[in-house]
Amino acid sequence: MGRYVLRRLIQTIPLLFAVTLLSFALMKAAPGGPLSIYRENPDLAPEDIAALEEQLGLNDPVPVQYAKWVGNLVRLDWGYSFVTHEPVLDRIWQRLPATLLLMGVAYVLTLLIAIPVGLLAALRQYSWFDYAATGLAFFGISMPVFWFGLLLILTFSVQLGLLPTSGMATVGSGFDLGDRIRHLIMPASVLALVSAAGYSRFIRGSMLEVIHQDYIRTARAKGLREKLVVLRHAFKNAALPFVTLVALDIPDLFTGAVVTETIFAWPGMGRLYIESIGRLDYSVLMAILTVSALLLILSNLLADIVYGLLDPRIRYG
Amino acid sequence: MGSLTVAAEPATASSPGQLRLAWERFRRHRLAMIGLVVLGSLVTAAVLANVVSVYDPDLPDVEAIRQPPSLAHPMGTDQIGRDQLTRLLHGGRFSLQVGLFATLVSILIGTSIGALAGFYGGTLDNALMRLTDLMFTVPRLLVLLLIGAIFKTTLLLIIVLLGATSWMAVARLVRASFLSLREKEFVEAARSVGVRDARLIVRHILPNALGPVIVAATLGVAGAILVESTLSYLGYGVQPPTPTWGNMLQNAQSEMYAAPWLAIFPGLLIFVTIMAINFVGDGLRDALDPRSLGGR
Repeated sequence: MGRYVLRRLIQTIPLLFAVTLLSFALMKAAPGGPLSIYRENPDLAPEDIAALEEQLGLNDPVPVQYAKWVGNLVRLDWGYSFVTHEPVLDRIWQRLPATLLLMGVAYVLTLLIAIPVGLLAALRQYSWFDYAATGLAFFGISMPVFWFGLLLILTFSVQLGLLPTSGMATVGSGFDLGDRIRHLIMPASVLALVSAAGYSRFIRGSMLEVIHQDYIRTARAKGLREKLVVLRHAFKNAALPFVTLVALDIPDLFTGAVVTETIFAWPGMGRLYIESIGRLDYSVLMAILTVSALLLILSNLLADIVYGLLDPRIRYG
Repeated sequence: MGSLTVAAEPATASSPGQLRLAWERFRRHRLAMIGLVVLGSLVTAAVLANVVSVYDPDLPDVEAIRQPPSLAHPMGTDQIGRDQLTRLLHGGRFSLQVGLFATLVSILIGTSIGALAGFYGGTLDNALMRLTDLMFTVPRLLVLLLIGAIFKTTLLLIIVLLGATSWMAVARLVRASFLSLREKEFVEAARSVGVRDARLIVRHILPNALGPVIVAATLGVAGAILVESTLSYLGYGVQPPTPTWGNMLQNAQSEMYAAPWLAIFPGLLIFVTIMAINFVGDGLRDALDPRSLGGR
């Protein structure tokens, strides 16, 4: 197992290399180069921009620039925002907690909805509950996240005036748990309902596969209580591929947060990305792109490892 | 078909009998038939937009600004008095085109890569699958947004970009089918009478691997429409004045108090379209991919 993890870790190196190369190439491909936004600034003379380019090493040969950037990336020196001139790492650290809070709450909510619904739908196959769950799943899978968000705002903020439209806290007030929860309800529900739809289908499918197998009949035949049969014998096995799916989807939730955070003005990483795109703040953009790719690679690795730990039938060579 | 000519006539899953059977199975799927009808009506309405609606999609009308839905304007009018239904029908042309053609691009790339990898195996397979892995680690939405911000996005660019970033699942699907199909007797038979590789891949093996691909393609159309509308909603997809369902929602949030109908109808069309496509995809899965029946 240790050797397998090591080998997988080594395999991620070329992937990381390729991904950093891609985000670097994107920035280089931009018309006017990374400082294009400065060229529109009337306070800056062309000489100033030239001096800045020299200072930032933008006149070095391209491979040297790339090597320097990756070197700094590894040493956690991520440079400064072109717009606010704060260190990029600081900006990301400021925004990360909000995203983690939103994602965490959404994830818990997702599992709380998806697992019971999927389980019950499988146990009562072709019942009205099963059909209702199927309908709900199609509803969630087909729902554009941003429109769902707009509809919620329209209903609960504009029409009913129950929930705040945006942000993480009411302006001017100190931290208040109730206030935080009221701000969280809509963005977290949007994220959760959309992903719960797919998950509940998945759990239903893998439960149905497991539940008709012989060892389940044996467990029932020897008089085990139904609750034990379902939870310990059936669900434990059905959950295996689900764990992989959940791990693989972590980055999806992050991208989902880009849209959700924009609609609800939630001050997280996703919104930071959209803000930085509007101002073409390349140092921030490249950092977030690289972090997201890293997240994708790591969650893939995590999925494989967890699967191996949970399923003793799998041997890693 | 005489036994001696078997090798010359490709053994395909799509011979008339098989197709009829698949259609029979599809027809019995009630939701899929509903989806097909809804989708057909939407496409027809979008194609006939000029006939269905008397308004000009781009012409402002100062006397009809922000009118709520009425008989004259069934879905209301926008900030500069354009009829929303008309704009939605015209926008539907672009949104549906993006979905269709982006999926075509993605199927073309995915099938080619999967077929080559699965048929030849070895180093080529390894290289192509590493490429697939790499593409899977690209944070798609983030990169598409960045490209949309850097370059002037045209309809064609969006189609190519969406297609070029969504072929990976199809490639893996096709590769898996090819890996098992290439060992089958009918392939050996075809090979033994001297059928060349290219013909073997395209005429003999591919038709047998097509079922799951068609299902994936259907769902891919839904995915492409969803991503395009997300990009356009955020302002980095197809640019106004060309209306798409996504970019018509761009200003919906700021207009929410004055004209809530502007936030409702474009999204409703996206939602209904995607739902209909997903229903059709579900029906196709039952019709073409009988193995997956148990999981449904």
